[in-house]
Amino acid sequence: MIPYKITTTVIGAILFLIIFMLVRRGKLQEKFALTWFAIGIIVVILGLFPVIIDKIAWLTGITYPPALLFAIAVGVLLIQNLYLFIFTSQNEVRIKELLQQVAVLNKLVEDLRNTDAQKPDDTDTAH
Amino acid sequence: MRILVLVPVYNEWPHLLPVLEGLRRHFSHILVVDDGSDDKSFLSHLKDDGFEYLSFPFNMGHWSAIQAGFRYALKKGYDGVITFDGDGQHLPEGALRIKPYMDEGYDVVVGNDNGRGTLPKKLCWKALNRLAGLEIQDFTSGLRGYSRSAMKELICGPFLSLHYQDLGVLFMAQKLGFKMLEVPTRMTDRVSEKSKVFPTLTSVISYMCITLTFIFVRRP
Repeated sequence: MIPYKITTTVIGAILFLIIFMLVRRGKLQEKFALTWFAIGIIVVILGLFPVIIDKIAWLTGITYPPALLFAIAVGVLLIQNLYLFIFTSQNEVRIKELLQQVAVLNKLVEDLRNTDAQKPDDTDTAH
Repeated sequence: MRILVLVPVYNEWPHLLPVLEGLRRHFSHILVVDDGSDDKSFLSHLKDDGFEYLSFPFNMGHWSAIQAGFRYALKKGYDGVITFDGDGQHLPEGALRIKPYMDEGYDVVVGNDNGRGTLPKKLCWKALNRLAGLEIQDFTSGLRGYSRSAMKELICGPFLSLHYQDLGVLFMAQKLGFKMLEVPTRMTDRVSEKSKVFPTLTSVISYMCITLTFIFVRRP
């Protein structure tokens, strides 16, 4: 049996690598990668030194350390999720405004083109 | 007063032409807004028949199509807009009834028809109406007139996050202090039989929940 420290460290390292590759390939923007990198680093550190969680649990008076870990994990995921919802709401409003303006501008350009196309005809008939 | 009649459409080509022909007899400025219909070929028919139109590349919602129409009307210097459903539900006479009140200086004029809708639906709408404290009774009506100053406000900020032209629009317009009026009009049953906004029971329930959330958040 291998020590559990190795398992946790490997999981953390894999997560970190995945995020790294995603950013490198341009799938994940740098500004969003930042928080995920932070999460990856924390997972690696906690994987290497799981005793940190026990220490913090003892300091905060939590008798069952894994409970603290799960509480933090759920909290972080909730905040990330909420942020994503805000982000999509914001984006939809922006897309709407852009779409409306593009539709109007398309129409105005078309109108201009039509009047331009008519102008040479008018001068021809005038002569 | 220059008025533009706005007809937002989404996949309603076969019924649309008679509606537009009927409108053309009474109004000289008509704008069709295509809310990303699946089949775009009707746009060339519109062009051949001399109707003006805006077109979205994808579906973005009834209210968004109307807002695009507002932007166009503002750019072109119209004094007001009358929104008119393209499914044959509204009669040109209804739009004609709204027009004089817009000349009088009302900002939002709603053409209502208390005769339509089933009883449970009516009760639901009534309940929502009371909860929101809305002066206008028939908030589901798509036959409405908007003044230029109303349009300017209705295309920005919180109005962009709305999906339907319904309670939300009227509620926020009322809060902004616009002069609003309800005019009785007669409507027919829509030709397509099925409502675009409420095709199924689930969509009605989801609409109720969204609207309740809206009222709950904005009421105070």
